[in-house]
Amino acid sequence: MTPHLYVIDLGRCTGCRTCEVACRDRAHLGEGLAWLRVETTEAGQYPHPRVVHRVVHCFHCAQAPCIAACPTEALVRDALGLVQVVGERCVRCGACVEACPFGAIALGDEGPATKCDGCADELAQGWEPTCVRACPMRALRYVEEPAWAPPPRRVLDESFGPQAVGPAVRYLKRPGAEGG
Amino acid sequence: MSPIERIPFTCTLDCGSRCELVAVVEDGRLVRIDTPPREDSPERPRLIPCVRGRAHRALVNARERVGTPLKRIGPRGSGRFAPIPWEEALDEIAGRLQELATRQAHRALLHITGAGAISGRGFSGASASHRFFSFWGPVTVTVGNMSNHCAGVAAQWMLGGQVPSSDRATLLDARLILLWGNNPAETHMAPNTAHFIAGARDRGARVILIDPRYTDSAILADEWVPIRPGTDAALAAAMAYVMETEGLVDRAFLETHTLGYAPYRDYLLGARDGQPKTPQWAEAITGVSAETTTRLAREYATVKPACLLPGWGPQRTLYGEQAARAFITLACMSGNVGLRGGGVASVGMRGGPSLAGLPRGPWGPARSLSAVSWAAEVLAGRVRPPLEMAYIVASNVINRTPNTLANIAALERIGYVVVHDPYLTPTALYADLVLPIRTDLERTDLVTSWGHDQHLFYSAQAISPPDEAQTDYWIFSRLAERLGFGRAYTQGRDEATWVDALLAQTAFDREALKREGLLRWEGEPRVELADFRADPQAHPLDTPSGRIELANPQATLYGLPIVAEYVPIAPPAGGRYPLQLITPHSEVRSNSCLAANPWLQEVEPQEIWINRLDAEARGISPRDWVEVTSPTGTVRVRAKVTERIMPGVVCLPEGAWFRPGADGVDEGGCANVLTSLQTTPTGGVATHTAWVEVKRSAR
Repeated sequence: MTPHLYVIDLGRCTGCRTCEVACRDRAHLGEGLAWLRVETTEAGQYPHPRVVHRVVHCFHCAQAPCIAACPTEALVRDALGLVQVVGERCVRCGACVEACPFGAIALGDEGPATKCDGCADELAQGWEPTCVRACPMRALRYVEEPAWAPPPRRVLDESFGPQAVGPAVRYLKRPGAEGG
Repeated sequence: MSPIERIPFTCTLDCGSRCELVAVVEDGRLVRIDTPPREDSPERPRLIPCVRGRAHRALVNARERVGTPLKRIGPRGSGRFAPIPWEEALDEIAGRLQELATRQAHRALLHITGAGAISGRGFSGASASHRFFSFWGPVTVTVGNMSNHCAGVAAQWMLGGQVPSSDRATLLDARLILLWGNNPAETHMAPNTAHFIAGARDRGARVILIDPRYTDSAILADEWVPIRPGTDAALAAAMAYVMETEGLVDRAFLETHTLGYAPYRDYLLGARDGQPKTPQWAEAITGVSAETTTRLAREYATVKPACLLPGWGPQRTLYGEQAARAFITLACMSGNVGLRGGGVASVGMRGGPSLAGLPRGPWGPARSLSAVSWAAEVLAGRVRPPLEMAYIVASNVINRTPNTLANIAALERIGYVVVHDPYLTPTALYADLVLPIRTDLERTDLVTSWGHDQHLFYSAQAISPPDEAQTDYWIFSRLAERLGFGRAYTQGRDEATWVDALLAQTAFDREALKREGLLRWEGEPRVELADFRADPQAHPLDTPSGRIELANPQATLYGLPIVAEYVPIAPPAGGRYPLQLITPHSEVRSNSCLAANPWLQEVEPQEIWINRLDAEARGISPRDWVEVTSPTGTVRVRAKVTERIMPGVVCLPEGAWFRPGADGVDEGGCANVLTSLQTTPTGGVATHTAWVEVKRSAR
């Protein structure tokens, strides 16, 4: 399958958290667990506050540190290129949680480590992932990587997380705007 | 594996949008909410639900859900109820109604409706209850517009009535957008408004947010202009002054399309009071620097097309008429009226598709009280003969009306109170009988677009209700039977046959609607007043002159100036309440609906916004508990200490539920505990005119 990217436009995200709730509604996780979060940072001083809302979830990295860190091979790459948790292999050691540079893996009081499954079932139907379809601002996109280039009036924001592990994400911001 | 059904429905909140949702149901159980995977294009975008609609699953089984009829067994407000069978509840209400009818005392019944749980034009909520009382007799009702009264008054005086607004898609053509007291990213007032604004900006438009708060809509804007609440007409006047004195007024448009500019010009130049309305004059009032005001004026006057898109916040102030009139005046001076991508800066609604609700019977109301200040009338003993019974359908009236404590006191004067609601709302706690109602997922109804689009939704029942919850129609049908007009009320129809009967009066394709859940209006985007702009003689407005009237003699009957002058608001004397309070809509509620949704309250916990400088002066740290006190009451809530609000202004979003603590202080964060029953000169709600003090709380 063609490699895909999550393209997240900081210049459009108003921090409404519709994606967060839509993901929560689909994932049916335990109390306090989430696959997707919106990190809001407020900086600056009145009358020039600066606010950035940043959607963060598993970016299914090309050199996934979680796969490398897992002692029981409970994290695997599936046929779509997504990193998946094999629940029955998980021994709850927390190594993947430690290894993930994006804080995208959660370990609750019970059960295996859990993270964004990339909406594999929805991709299989030809749909975009839930978070992408949920965004009223169209700030989230899921695109084929080879053909993708930043749209006009946007530049890449590379201030968040290590690029070396190959996260399948590109954050966009307006030129001159605040990054993370 | 059991079959999974995907059932289209729509969220029936009174939010300003109407969106496409899908209930994913497995074995009769709601497993998730989704959206249809439809095409999405810039000009014809999907109707994507916001966070409120997406959180439905947590609402259906919320802790506050009512499942059976409840009869009060403790003092009012105590929350002590006992479940009773439907037959007993219906017999009790029918008995009360019969007793009133026997005495010809129908007017002693106060019928209050709202949009809670049910908005749109089907047969639920107010549609069912108004039909019922129109067969029963002449009752007392509350009337009035809690949303955009003053904008409506301004439209009536200046435009001869509300003019159907441009479709939001035309925002893509704007080169400048002034979001003035408008927060579409959070209110979702018209589907996709924020999306279109972002789209306009991506095409090169500049966007300016004028608001006391750096709302989430500020992300859409190039510039934030903080302004003191209630001073919008002063900023508009100073902008108009710059336009007038720098020769930037579209005189040709004023001469051919408007009447009455001269007295406004006199006001601007200070012909009567000796005070020219300069940007320096305005600065001391609005808090907007003279330099910024001048720049705003030049930009709005010279960039075409420019859209002044006011929200309804500025007109929910004590002289909200003046803000609403000033916006229209400014739009006319700029010459943007009737342009695609421009606008007349009025109410801003297009009106939904034509769909009749349930027809009414022979009786109209005997008398009406103000929906804003009915409690004042009751408490002053001015309602004669007095009210003996209140019948409240789909309305959390004590929470959504200014001065919650006065509303409670008024309700306590009324001997017997019935409430229909899916939830045990703060209002329901004061009822003698609470009847459990189905939510939008648990009933079938026809629903129109909220007021900006022309779409029609068929919202199918997706799941069974909890316990014994019923529809308003079901309840009124059975009450009507008991009172001897069952046949007249139902015409022998159940809800499904009413759907078909109402649809038969329209041109909509019934089968396609039921299959798709939505019939979208298709067509070229409408441009507001384009025909009037092109030929004002051929397409006159409903004003006496047929033109836009900038001077309104009617205003003087209410003690208002003849033109859109700024009228100052005096703070309460004594200096005890130094901070101005605004109570805007929250992105996680639709007025007080959804306050019972735990997911949404986690998304945005109720907090009072206070600027860091005001917080420091009071020893308040982020997340501290504080007490917010106004002349009408006290709320205990956490503080959001932020750079995102103007110093001197605090903000408590409306709609959180009233929950008095042991000392009587509200711990739910209900903004209307702090607002007053004072209305604007024409009777509008003035909830953004309030003063408070904030101090650290011991809790």
